[in-house]
Amino acid sequence: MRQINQYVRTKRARRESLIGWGFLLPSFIGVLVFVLIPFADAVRRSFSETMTRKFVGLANYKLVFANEAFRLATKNTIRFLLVCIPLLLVLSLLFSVMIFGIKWCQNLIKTTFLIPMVIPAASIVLLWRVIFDNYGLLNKIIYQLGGNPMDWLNSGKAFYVLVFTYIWKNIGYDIILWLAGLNGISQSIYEAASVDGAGKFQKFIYITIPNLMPTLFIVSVLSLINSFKVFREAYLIAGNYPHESIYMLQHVFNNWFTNLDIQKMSAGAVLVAIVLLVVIVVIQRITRSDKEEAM
Amino acid sequence: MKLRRQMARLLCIMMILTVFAGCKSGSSDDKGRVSMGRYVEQKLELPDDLAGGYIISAFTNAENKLEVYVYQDTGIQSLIYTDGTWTKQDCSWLTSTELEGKYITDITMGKDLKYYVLTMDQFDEEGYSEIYRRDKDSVEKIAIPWLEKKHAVSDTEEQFPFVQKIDIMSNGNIVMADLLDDSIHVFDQSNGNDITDVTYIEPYTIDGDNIIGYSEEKQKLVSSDEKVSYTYDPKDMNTILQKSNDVLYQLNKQGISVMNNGGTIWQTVVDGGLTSLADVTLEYKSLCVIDKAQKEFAVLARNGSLFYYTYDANIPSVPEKQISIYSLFLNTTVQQAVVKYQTSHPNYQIRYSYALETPYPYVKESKENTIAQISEYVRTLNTELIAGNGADILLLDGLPKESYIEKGILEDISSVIQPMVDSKELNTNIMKNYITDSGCYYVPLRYQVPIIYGNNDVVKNSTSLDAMLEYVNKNSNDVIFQNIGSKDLARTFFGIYSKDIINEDNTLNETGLQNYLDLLSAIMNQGGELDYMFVGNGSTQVVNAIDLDDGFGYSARPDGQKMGYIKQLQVLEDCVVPLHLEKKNGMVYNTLNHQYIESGLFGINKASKDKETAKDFLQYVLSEEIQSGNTMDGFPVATKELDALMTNEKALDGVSICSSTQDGGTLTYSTPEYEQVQELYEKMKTLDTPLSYDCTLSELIIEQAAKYLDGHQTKDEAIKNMTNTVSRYLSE
Repeated sequence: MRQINQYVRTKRARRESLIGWGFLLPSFIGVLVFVLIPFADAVRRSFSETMTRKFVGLANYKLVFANEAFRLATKNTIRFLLVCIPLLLVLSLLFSVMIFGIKWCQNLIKTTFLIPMVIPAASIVLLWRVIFDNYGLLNKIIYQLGGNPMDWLNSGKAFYVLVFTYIWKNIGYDIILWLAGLNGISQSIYEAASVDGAGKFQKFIYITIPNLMPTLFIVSVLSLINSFKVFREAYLIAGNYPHESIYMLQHVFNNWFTNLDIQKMSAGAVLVAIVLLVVIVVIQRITRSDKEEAM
Repeated sequence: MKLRRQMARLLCIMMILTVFAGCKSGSSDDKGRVSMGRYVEQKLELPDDLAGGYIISAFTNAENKLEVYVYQDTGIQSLIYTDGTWTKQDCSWLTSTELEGKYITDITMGKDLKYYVLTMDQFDEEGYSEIYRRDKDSVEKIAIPWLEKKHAVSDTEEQFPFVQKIDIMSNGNIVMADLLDDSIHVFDQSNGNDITDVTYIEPYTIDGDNIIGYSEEKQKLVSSDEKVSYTYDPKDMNTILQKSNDVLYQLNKQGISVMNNGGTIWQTVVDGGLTSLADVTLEYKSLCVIDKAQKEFAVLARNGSLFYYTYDANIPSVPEKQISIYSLFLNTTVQQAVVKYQTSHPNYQIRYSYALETPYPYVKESKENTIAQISEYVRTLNTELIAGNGADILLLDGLPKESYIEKGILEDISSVIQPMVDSKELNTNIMKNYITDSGCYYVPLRYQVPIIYGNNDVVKNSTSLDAMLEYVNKNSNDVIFQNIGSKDLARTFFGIYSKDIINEDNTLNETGLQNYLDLLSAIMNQGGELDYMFVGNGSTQVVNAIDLDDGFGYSARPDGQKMGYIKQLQVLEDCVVPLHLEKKNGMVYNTLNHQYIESGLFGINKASKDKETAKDFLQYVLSEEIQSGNTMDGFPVATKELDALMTNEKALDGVSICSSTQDGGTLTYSTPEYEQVQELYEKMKTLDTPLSYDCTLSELIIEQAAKYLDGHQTKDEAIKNMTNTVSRYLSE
């Protein structure tokens, strides 16, 4: 009888496993065709010449490491990530906790924060030009207040304009993610803490933060990925060769592509992918909850 | 439950089968089955005794035959074309006393089946048109007061109507278009009164007693009785309409298309792309439809060429061999060569696609968009090239050609070019710049000649940036160059002195850069207020990424004795202004350090599947047939054709240029002397250095220079920004 039960369970498990694979298959094929195979091709190209496809070993990687433009872009990109992502995570978390506490017109506030996401990049760029141009709105206000107008888009200030753009555009999305995480925390934990005499701040530190760790992973990874999309705005505002403070990795890749430097572009892309993978694994390790670790 | 499961399985199987069926490459039955039949073109040559005659008119006569009238020194001759043969017919009525001394511009047969003649009293702006009708053996004038009265064309100017063709309705009423204001007029045949009741503009045609013309209000072709209307794209310039047996025919650069009464779609019967009809230099005069079992067409061009189209059921509908050409900017030499090559090679189809009409559009604001668009187009092209695709032939103007050579994208074309250079067929001074030890990967199809003219000292000091700066500074109280706006000024002078600003290894020459900015600043300060008249006054037919003509075009004035002007000679006619001022006002001119501007850089994609045809086409473009043509994009690189052009004493016969000044006056520049043209030719023979630079790099510098001139940054900031950006660009 036990053997029969085991047989039934094994057969059922196998069937369920097959169904699972069946559901996974379409998206797996999509990822395979549109991500993994192209990436494998990029890896192959990173070890070969552009057109002849002759194997050149690590020569392309050496070229990329020695490339000044790549180094400057890497430095700027890291600086941008180090400034933007923590800032975005903290600000969005603060806003989400505040919104979570408001029951009245919560949806309206959420929607308001999401509006920047639906505005096309080209329109944002137009708006930014009106505001940040030499003769723009911001300089006019500064001048009226007795200050000295400055070139926001063609000086070191361009970096802060880009940071502002990124935060402004992505904060709504992160708030929604945080709110989903906050909704997932059982109210009974807060009630138990209240019974034990915990204050609002203690509850935030000892209940909210630990329970938001899995959400932190998702929000961090998505913020990291979204940070690369800010290139659109940078490109539309200042073109292929913007002020050196906002010269990002995508600018280098874009310009390499224009000059058909595919081998350098592939090597650079592989390096970026490896770094991103490491960063994601580290974030995953940090944000892994005790419960998950026990499993 | 079981039934549902089976249904699900069945649906899955059907879905998979549908996907595979959609992916099939075609059954074996389809292979080898080629659809046959298309119209073929034949350029009709006149009989030997009329060779050299000019066809002034062609129409389908009452017997449904093609009737043409040929102008010769001895008079006008009438011919009938049937089944490949010409027959002369009597046209003595054209020598009647009424027509004596008149210049005949058009002869036609009206819908009332009578002959009509359009004449011009004298062939200048004071001449007016007259219309005569043949009635049996006599010729009578139809008095139309409108033709003999001057009409206001501006607040101060009046002119006679300018009419080039007439059409006659079935009731004998006469229809004419005044080319001065595009209006179409109908005149009563009995009294010559204007009885126009519907407002149309060209194109138009006659349908019995009605006109079918373009109504701007309705945005379509409408019959004057409003019973029928046809869709029409007003962008199709130079369109001719013809109505025959309830079918409307349309002739334009796309070919000949038809639409039945009540139809909505134009159906192409003669593909313009496979015939001479797509030739940009061809202006149509008339379309004749010869009604046979399989209709035949004749097209008369304004240059007197007559093309005849017959249906050949034994050739494939689409030519079997196809190659493609891609360029960033429209190249008229290649465009014309494509048309001619296809006509002489019916088995070939050449698809020519270009991204933009011109690198520097007339509208100033569009220039910035164009620069952004170009990099998008380059990226798209690169994607194709990396995938091993892309056009068979690449015109490399504005493309990263050096990068393409380095990456092995381009085919070595030495086998075509070297023999032509060795035999001196091609200009060796120019071609030597493209033949290297590693091979020859591209060559220009034409070249343009940048010159500086004006004050003797300006021209003398134009040889280097230092000398020019010193001269401008010495004469700080005079206007040496017109202020044409910061960006145009920066672009023009970068073009002239790029070699003083950028070192051979593409790094910036800091002293050169300082001098460049000082020179621009000095010119801006001297030029005073921006002269809007010349801003964005670039040539409309720029075919190279480099344009030095921006703003200085025809701005030269006889009273501008102290000034210098820069002109990019693209055609011989462009020398009229400088040579006139040389002759009449003692100005001098010179080339810019023997530099020339490349036009139409022809390269072959190494991944092309038909490199032999591509090479054959290259040979064709460099042959006499194409090089001798005037496509307004430069001088021939073929030695014989350049010589023929420059030593032709009649090449500039009657060419003079008039321009109006801001104060309402008129400037006239007369035809240069033959000796002057020879002097220019001698200077052209010394051109041996391509004025070629990296367009991305130049734009980076020009942008910063313009910001400096506009006061957005100091000179030091400009230099720092230029150095930063350029070094970043170079380090990539």
